[in-house]
Amino acid sequence: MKDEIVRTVGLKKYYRLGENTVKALDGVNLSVREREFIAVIGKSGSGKSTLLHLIGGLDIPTSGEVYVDGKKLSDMKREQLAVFRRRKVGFVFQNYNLVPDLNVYENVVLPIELDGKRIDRPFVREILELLQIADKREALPGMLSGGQQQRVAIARAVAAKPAIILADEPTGNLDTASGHDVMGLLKVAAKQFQQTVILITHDRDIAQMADRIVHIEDGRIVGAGDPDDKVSGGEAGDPYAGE
Amino acid sequence: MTRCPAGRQVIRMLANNNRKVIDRMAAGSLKHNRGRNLIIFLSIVLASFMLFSIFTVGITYFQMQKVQNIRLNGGEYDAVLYGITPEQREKCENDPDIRRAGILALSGYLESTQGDDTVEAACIWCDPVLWDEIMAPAREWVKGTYPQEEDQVMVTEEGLEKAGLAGLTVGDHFRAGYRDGDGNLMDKEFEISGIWEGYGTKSAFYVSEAFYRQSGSDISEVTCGRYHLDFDKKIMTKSEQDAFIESLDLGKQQALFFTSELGYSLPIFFGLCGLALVTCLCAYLLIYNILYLSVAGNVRYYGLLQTVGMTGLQIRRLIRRQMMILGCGGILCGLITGSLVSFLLFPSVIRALGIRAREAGEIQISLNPAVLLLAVALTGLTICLGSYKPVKLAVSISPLEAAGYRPAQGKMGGRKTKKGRLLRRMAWDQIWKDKKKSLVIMTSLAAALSVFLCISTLLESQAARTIVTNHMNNDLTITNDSLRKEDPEDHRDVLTASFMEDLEHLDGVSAVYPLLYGQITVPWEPDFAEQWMEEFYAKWMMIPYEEDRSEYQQYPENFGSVILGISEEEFPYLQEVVDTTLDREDFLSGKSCVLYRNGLELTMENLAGTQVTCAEYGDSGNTRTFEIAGFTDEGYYTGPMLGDPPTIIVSESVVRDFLENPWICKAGVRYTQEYDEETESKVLGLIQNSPDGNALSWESKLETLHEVERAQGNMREVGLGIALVLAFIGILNYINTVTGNIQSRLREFAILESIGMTDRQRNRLLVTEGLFYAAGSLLLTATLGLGITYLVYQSMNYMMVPFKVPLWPVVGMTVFIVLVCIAIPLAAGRYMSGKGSVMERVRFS
Repeated sequence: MKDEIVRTVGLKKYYRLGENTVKALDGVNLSVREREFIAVIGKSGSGKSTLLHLIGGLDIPTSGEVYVDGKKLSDMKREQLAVFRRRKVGFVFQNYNLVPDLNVYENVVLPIELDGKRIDRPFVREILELLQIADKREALPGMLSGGQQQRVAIARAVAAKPAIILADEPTGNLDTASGHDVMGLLKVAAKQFQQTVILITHDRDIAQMADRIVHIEDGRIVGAGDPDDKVSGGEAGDPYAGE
Repeated sequence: MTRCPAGRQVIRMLANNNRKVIDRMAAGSLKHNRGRNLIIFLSIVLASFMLFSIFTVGITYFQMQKVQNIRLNGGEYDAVLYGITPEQREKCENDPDIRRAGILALSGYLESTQGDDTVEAACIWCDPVLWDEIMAPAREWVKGTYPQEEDQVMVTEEGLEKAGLAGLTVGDHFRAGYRDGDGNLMDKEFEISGIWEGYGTKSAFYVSEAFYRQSGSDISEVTCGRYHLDFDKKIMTKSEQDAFIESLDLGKQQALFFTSELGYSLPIFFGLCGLALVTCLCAYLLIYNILYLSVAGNVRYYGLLQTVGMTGLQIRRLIRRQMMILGCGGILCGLITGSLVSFLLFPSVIRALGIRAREAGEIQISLNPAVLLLAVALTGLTICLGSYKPVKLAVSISPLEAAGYRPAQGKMGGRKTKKGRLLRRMAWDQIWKDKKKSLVIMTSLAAALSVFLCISTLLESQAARTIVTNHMNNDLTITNDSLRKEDPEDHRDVLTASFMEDLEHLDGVSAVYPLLYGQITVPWEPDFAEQWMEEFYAKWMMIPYEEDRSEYQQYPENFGSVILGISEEEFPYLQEVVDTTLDREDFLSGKSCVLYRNGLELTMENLAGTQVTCAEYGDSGNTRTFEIAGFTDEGYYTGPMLGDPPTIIVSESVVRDFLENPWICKAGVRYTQEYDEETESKVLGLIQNSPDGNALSWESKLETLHEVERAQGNMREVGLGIALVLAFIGILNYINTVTGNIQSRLREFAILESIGMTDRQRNRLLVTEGLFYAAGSLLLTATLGLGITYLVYQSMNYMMVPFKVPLWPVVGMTVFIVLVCIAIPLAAGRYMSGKGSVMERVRFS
């Protein structure tokens, strides 16, 4: 596909727990177009986060491939993956993963600084204001509430203007109104900077705001794609099922 | 339930007998956390091993130093009294603090033998205490026996060679001319009753008591008697020393000198205590670090125990029980390792030194109970102190906190956004994040570096070359011995202009400094000459000055002296050994002179502006007057004879202008390359091939160097061993802390990697941190460490060698520390963060 940015082919991730094997992902084929806003929904333990980590190169699949912008992640070395992440991907982790010794502002601009690029200060200020954490710019993560830390994590993911934003439950710790604000921000940012967003959520209302909803269950993309409720699914081997 | 006096009810809790449970848990924890406990165990082994080794090697080092001093002094004694009155002798014999006292009597001088007519060797009688006890440790072997008969002598092969009697052995006879104690020239046939080898006055001829009795010498005179005192206690304060001198009621001529070791015993003792303290500090830091990291890593476990009902007291008991098990095993293993190393390694080192225990003092590595106890006590104390804080941490944390405890996440509050490069900034923050830990790392490294600095500076100062260099300026000093003859007819001009020219042109000789000599008189005058002679008689003569004053006034030629002329090139050295600043122009032009002090209590303070007048010996009309510019105690400037009036030192040109055809009495030779054996053999060849070669004697810096090196043995290597062991402790501390630190930051590194930090950037961050640690340690060493080194050095500097930091060892150590500070975090970072995917590391770190 011409404007395809993410593609997974037969993606499997198995974990061994004692004598048992847990199939976190079991042959996932997914394709995401540029500037698409996708919500991945599913039950707890269905493999949503694992899928996101594999797309971001944070985890190594048991088998299968991930292509981002036409490049196979498995061909990249560790060093190249790190550079890929800071240039192409903005992560919003479920548990924030902020650096405890850096203040809010330093955390937000960290990926930009790691890449040795100039910081777009007005843009960063705008993001902080939009996320209502501008007054906390010198605070350390340890003194912020869960919701505030979530906002900082979103700001960090957006600040470097990456091509893809991978967000793992970004609104999980926010109240409904804030959650909608954040979604609004993500949508605005994605549109403004032509970003692709893959969002994991269990909140159907939030998922409704996405262009497409992918339903995942027991490590597989499932469900008949219903265009009305914008939920898509498909069998393994059909990367564009549900479209 | 009981009632207290105030009427309130008090609940008495009955102690649970939970010892068995705690024992079981302690044993179980040891078993399950094998890896972590192995590190603690090894650190305790290492600490006790190092403490044991440091003390054992330290004791060996100071025993070796004692051997060195015995060898350099020629015996084992602490003080020498010049002149021995019967009262003083009785007092010393009855003094409970004095272990033994031996008498030496200078009973005459050998002037000639059948093989050499310019011999200069003392005839010395030693009493049995001195010879058999005090001097014995300095001897290597003895053939024959100490002289019993009046005509018997005990000599060394070197002494025989110097007296032109090489090849003679025990039982052989020789004829010799000697002066007795009254100055009478005697001729006698002697029998060699024994030959010895070792350290001490090797050129002397040791004679019997019978010889001394008939020599006319008297041990109560300072020129004859030397009382060698060996004290029981080896540490004496200055005031104790002064009190002892006071108690002897010394006469004006008498003097008592403490050997340098006892003289500086107290500062040396404090210096040693300082070194021991630093060693203990290093061991403490090592154990503390590891325990802290271990307990901090186990906080969740202790929190869990609290959750299920374990009290703080029980947790404390649990940790202590674990420490007890690990401590006992660790200390035992450390001591066994230390003993094995001490018994197997050190004896071979000692054997390599060629030290015979019987003759050179008991240098045996033995299992010293004091060292054993001290090592056990200090390691135990270190474990207690080191575990105090970690135990407190484990007990004080609440169950909830413990469940979510992460060492890196406890920080609260805010901070200003900093400028500068990201990695440098992050590294800098890391140093300041846990100030205490950073300080521990830096202090530990700085302590090791400082001890290395201190010991290498001390070793350098004690090095044979440093000692020799500081006590002698020329590579070789050649002396015309014929000028010592009483009869002027026997004097010969041996160091002739052609000889000096040949000497200068030898390959490898960079400079030759002639010392011109002429006989003079110093006519009586009421000011300086009178003052000098009064002092001289009071100090050195047995009769009062008044008895000789009129003869001196009328016949000054009966009181001859010498004038010495130094070359212009030698002026800087003269300035070094004169206690006042000389005016170069005045001295070279002959306006001023320097006097050899000759042990008199004269200073420039009471002689400022005073002049001295001298006349050519035999021509009282030819006189010169000089302003006295300073005094020197340098023995080189004594000339062939030491008269009653002063020895006057002026410039060479002044002597040549004053006297007709003055002779050279000494020649100082410098080599292009110091201690050059090849040049030395050429110079000695020239002397031996000279027609009057047997009238020349020499003092060689190279020979002295060999002598001092032989006396020192492997002291330097052992000392360096101590420094390296301490440096090793510091580095281990650094490794422990840095690896622990990286371990606790693995999650942080994984997070950073997840948002784009490359391995190279992480390595740069760790290297920068390492460099900060290195810089901090070096800064501490260069300030505090250097200051302490200077104080310790000065307190132990009984050789009076100027303080000088040895450049290359310090540069080497600095480079090594910087490399260690870079390499360890780099290696640890690479090894620790290299496993699993980013998410696995985020999840499981």
